[in-house]
Amino acid sequence: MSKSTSAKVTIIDYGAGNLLNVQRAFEHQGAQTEIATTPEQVEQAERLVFPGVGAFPEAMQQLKTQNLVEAIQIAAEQKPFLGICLGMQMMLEESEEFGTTEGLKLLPGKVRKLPETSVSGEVMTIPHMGWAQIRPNKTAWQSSLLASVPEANAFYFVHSYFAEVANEADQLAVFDFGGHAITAAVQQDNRMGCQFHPEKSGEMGLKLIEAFLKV
Amino acid sequence: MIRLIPRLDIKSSHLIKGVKLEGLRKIGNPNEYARRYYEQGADELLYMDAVASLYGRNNLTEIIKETVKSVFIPITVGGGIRSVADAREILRSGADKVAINTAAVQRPDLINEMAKTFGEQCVVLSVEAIKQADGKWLAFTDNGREHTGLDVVEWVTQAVERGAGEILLTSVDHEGGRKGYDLDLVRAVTSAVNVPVIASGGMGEAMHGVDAVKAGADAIAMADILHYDRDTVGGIRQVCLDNGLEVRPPQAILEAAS
Repeated sequence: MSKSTSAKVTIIDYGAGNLLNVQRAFEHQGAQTEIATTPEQVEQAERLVFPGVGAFPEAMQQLKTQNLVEAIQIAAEQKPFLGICLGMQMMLEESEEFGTTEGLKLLPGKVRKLPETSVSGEVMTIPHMGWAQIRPNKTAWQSSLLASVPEANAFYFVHSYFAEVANEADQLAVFDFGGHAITAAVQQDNRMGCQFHPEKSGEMGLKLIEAFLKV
Repeated sequence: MIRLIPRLDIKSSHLIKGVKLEGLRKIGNPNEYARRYYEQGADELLYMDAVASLYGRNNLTEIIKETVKSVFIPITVGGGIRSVADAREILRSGADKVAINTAAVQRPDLINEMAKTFGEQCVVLSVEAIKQADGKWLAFTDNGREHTGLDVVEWVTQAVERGAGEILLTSVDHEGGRKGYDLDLVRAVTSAVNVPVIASGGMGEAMHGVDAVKAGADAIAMADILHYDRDTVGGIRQVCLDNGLEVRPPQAILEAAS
C-alpha cells in the first residue's frame, strides 16, 4: 500500500537509463512524480531526483544538449537533491571514464575506476554488482538521509566507477570492496547521493526514499 | 554477498515447474509468488519463459510490468530473446538484466551487441548443461532438447570474452531432482570465468545451496523447494548464515508493507 506523503518529486530525464523503476519506487512511497526534460521543469521543482545508468561522458553531453546543466546547478543550491548511481557520480567535479569529462561540480571530488585488485592483490570483479553492507564514514548518520538505516543493512549496487570525494565530511557512507573503503553515499547540506540503487534494494531502499521525501 | 534467487519458470502466464525442464506442471500466478518471495527476502528474481523459444518470442512483458509495481529487487528475464530490440522491450518493462541462450548460440555476436548497448552487467548467458559419458558437459537449448555441440566450459569462456556479465548455469540432469546441484559443473565453470555464476537445478534442501556456494557459485537459483513450500527464502538464508556464508543479514530484510 502506498504511503500518504504528498511530496512532489521531479525526476530528471536525460535519456540515461530506465527511469521507470525509480519513478515506481517513489510513487510506491506516496510521492507525486513528474519527469523533467527541460530547464524550466527543473527550476519549478520542489525536490529533485537525478538517476542515471550508463557512461559519464554521454550523460554529460546529453545534459548539455537539453540545456540542463545550469538549471541543475542552481536548483541543487537550495532544493533537496538526490543523485542515484551515475547521477551521484555526476554531482562531482570530473570523471576519468573514457578520458576526463567535467561533471556538475556540486561536490568537490573525482569519479574514478574501481580498484582492479583487492588490498591483498586478488583480482576484483568489475562491474561491482550485488548487495553490499554500508557503514558510516566519519560523518554521523543521525541527521542524514540514512538516519533510519540500521547497522545490519545491505543495498544493491551496479557500477564500475566510484566517487572519490575530496572532503571526508561529504562522504556519508562507505562499503568494503576488497579491503578498499568505497563511497556508498554522499551528503552536503541539501545535496545527497547514493551509489547503490534504493529502488532495487528492497524495503530498506524504500525507507531511504521515504526519508528523502521528508527532507 | 551470496544471492538467493527464486527462479520462476513461466508458461502462458502460469508459474510452472518440471523435472529436467520437462513435464511441466502448473503451480499458480507468478506475480503472487514473486511478491511472496520478495517479502521472504529474496535478493533477486529470475523469470524464464519456458516455451518462448518454441514461438520465437518472450511473452513476459505484461507479467514483468505487474511485478515491478510491488517488487523492489533486481529481476532477470530470459526466454526467447533474439535481438537487441527484444532485450530493450524486456528492460523497458522493468527488468534489470536479460538472459539469453538459443539466440546467443546461433549468433554469438548478439552477446557483444547487447553488452555494448546495455552494459555487461545487463547480459546474462543462460547455459543448459548435460553431462556426457566422458565427464564433460555439452550446452543445450530449448529446455535441454536441442543439442548445440558446444562444450560448456569453452562456451562460457567465449561468452565472457564477448561481454556476458553473469552466467546462469542450469544442470539439466539435476533439474527437478532435489538431490543437489551438479557441483563438478559449478567448479568447472567458476574456475574458468571471472564473472558471477548462478547455480541452478537440483536444490532439494538448504544445505545444497551451501554446497553450491562452497563449490564456487556466487548465487543460487531455487524453484520447487520454494514453490512447494518445502522451505522459505528466510529459512535458506539462516542455513547459509549458520554455515558461514556471507548473505544479506536477516535484520536487513524489513517487513514489506502489504
